[in-house]
Amino acid sequence: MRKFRGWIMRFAGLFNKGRKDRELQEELASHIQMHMEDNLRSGMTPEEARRQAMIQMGGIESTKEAYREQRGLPLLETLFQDLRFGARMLRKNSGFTSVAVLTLALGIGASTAIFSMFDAVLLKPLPYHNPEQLVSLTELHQKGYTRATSFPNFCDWCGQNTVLSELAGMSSAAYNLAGDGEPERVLAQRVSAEFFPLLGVNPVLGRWFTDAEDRANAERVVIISYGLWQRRFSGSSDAVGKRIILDGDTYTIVGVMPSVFQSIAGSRYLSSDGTRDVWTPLATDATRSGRGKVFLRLIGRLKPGVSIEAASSELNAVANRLAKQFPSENTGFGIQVRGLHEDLVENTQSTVWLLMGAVALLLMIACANVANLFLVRASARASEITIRAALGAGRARIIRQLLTESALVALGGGVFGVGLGWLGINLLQRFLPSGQIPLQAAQVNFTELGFALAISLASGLIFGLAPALHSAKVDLNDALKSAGKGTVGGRRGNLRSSFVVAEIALAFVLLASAGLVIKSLGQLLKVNPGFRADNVLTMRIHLSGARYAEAPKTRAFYDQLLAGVKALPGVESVGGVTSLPMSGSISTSSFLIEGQPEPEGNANYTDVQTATSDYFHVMGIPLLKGRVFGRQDDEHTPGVVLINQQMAVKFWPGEDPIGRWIRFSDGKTNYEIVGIVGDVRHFGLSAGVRPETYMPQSQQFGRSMMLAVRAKANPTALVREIRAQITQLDPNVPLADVGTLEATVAATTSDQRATVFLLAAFAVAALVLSAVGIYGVISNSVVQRTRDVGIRMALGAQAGDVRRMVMRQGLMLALFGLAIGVIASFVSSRLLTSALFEVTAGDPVTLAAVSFLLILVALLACWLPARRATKVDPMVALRHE
Amino acid sequence: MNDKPEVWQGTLALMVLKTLEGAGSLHGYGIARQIERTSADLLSVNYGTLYPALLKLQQEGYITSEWGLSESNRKAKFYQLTRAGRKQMHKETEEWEQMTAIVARFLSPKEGMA
Repeated sequence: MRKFRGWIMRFAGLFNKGRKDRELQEELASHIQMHMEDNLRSGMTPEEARRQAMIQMGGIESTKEAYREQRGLPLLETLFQDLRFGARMLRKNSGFTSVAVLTLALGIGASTAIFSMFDAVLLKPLPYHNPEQLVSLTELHQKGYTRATSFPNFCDWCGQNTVLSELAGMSSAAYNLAGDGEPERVLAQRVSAEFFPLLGVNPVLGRWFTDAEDRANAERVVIISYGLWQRRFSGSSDAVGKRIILDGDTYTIVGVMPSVFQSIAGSRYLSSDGTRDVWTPLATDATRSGRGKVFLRLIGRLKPGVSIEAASSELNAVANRLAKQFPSENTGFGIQVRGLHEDLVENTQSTVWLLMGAVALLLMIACANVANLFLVRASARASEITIRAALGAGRARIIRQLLTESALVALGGGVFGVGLGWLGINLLQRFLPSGQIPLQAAQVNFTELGFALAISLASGLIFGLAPALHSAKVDLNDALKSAGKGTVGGRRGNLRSSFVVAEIALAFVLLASAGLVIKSLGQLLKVNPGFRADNVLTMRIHLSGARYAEAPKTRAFYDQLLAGVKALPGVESVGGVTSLPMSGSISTSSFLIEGQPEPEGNANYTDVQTATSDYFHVMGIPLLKGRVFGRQDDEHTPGVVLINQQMAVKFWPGEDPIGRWIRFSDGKTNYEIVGIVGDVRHFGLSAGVRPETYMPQSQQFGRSMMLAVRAKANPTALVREIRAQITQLDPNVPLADVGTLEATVAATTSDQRATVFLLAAFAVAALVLSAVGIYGVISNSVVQRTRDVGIRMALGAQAGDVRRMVMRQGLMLALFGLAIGVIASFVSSRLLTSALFEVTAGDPVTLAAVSFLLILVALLACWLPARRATKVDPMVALRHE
Repeated sequence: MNDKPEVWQGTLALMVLKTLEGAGSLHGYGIARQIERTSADLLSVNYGTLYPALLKLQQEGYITSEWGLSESNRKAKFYQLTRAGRKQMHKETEEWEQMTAIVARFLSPKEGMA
């Protein structure tokens, strides 16, 4: 404590030095006076008295010096001195300083922007109570595929485990919200009563669900989002207790969630669909309580001290018991228990790591460039440093001075870099499509600022240390002899060359990565989605309420709507389907095949859709065999289905499935296969095709339908007229998800495009920086070799010879860097693999193209200095001495 | 000049504190003379090292200083012990006594080590 007080006082001693010096002066003067008086009293002569007093003081100046050192903080004072001197030097060389600061700002800015993303995705804990205890539970089949969970399984897991303090089930839903104002389609989640207590997020108003409300036929209650509360109730505090109408049923509002609350989406990642507007209790009734109905996603909270492994082994024991007990539904299924955070970021983290790696390379290139700048300057300052050394500055002292200067440059780069990073994040958020890469979550806060400061200082040390160590190694004798000429250091040249080689190697790795993802995106865009996406307007319609409780009513509505829309001028054709390609979830069912025994564990799965007969024509999905639905397929004729090619190949290999029938596991009806249609990539361009079955809308009861309207020209121009048609039929039916099929398809590649954009931008920056690096080294060496060139030319060398000599030097550096880069890119390609689609990480075409580009740029960068070398006048060069 | 042993760095602080305890309030020259007198002129204080030591004690809060007039009506800076200084002095005295006692055991031949 006392020591600490001492430091504080010494820190205070840094200020107001003049007055303190005067005080000491007075104190010492009075000391000497008193001593002299004593000496006089003891009989000395005045001169002798003064002399003795001075002797015993032991030198006034050295006393003062010792006193000053004790008074302040000598280390800090030299630092200030260094800073002042460094700042002065940097101001004097404003060109050097601005290039160095800007180069660093580029590296630090990019790093900060990407780090903010990294922080948002991987470092920030989930916004729930004790998030490290949260786990996701997924049913995993021995063969490696997963499925949702049935309600009875959920109840059994709840009752038979001792490792979870809470277990909650949830399922995605959507409702037509009616009441005051426009009808609206809202995204919802049905959640078990444990859901909110498990996450531990309190409502801003009202309460959570009770257990009683989570039972079949309980009174209907709802919790609404902050956004909906503001939108529909203008944030009024008496919203709780009010009623809203969802799908025609009346619900009482019991709670309002805070604005920061982000629900866990039904899918496995945090993305824009984490936003939900309403939550209703699961209240599972008879229609969903079968063990074959899988629709729940589960999250749990581990009891304190229970590890994921322990939980997993116990829950799997439960699953094994259930598999024996209910073999037809549960055979082969275990439980995968994973940390919730890990589960949610699964799809994004590889991209984020990839981008982090890329900016790290960019930052290293920037550092190498700045280090080179410092080395150039060090040769210019060699005589200054020599003189300092000659005047007695120690090696450490010189290094400290030079490092202070690089730290100043680094901090300058950091300040500009943070600004640049902030700008970058804002631009990216505005212009890049929002996909899984959570650009929206990125922001500059204290963590980011701390990160920027840390990397600035670290980079300052990295690029400052080598030049500083190098410069401080002065041989006084040699240096003073050649003073004023600047040292033509072979070693300094070597150091600079190795920086350039490193830069080129790093730039190669970045360029190769960018090249690979670009090629991969190209491959992805070449994939045939199985349908024609141009000029198609899409929208989602859901009929709710008692009015549409029966099939003929919904069918009549859709028949009239489709006929009306088809009659609109500008519409070529119109069709409907339960779920358009790439538009989200699709229902899946297991089925029986005619003439085959029931497989164990529901092994035959197919996606099931309901479609109108025109749908295939509108979408351009080809009919490969048989027929599409027709007028003859209605509720009075036998059930028919179409299947996709994938399903035909998988379940009827080498046979003709037309005329055969299938039966869905939960039904009794046989459906005859009447046709085979082309495969559609429902889950995105890079995802595989699954078996798919289409049932005719004319035989099925479906309240929900997505419309696909093929326009003659601009599809979005039709929206107003279609909306008018719907309002005419029923003003309470909302229109949701209006868009074009093209935009939907484009959205599936948004992440890849964002990655390509970012990597390409980093690669271009790297290319520019390394070009500057080569240029700097070569032109500097040309200047140093002026005399050499002059002699050669005097001896008869032609301009072409000189140019070749200089270019060869640059080319050697480039080739050397390239060789190292190729090796390094083999190592780094492991990070890339997950980002690539149908391109191998070592793709020779890409690597060759990138090498060619780099060499071209290197040659360009050498061209100017080479030309300058040929302009050397031999006479001037020789006199230069 | 003379070959009197100089005061060690570490012990100077303790001597200053002890001196101030006896004298109450004293200027730098007075402290130096007092230390020499107490040591029966066996020790010589390098006055140059005295002032940084005084400053250090002051920074650590063991002594305070104020300007006053000396016995010969000369302006001088006077130092006093603070409460923390008194405590520190007792602590250091104890430690010092313990230390000398231990060293004495090694040096005195009659008590031996057994």
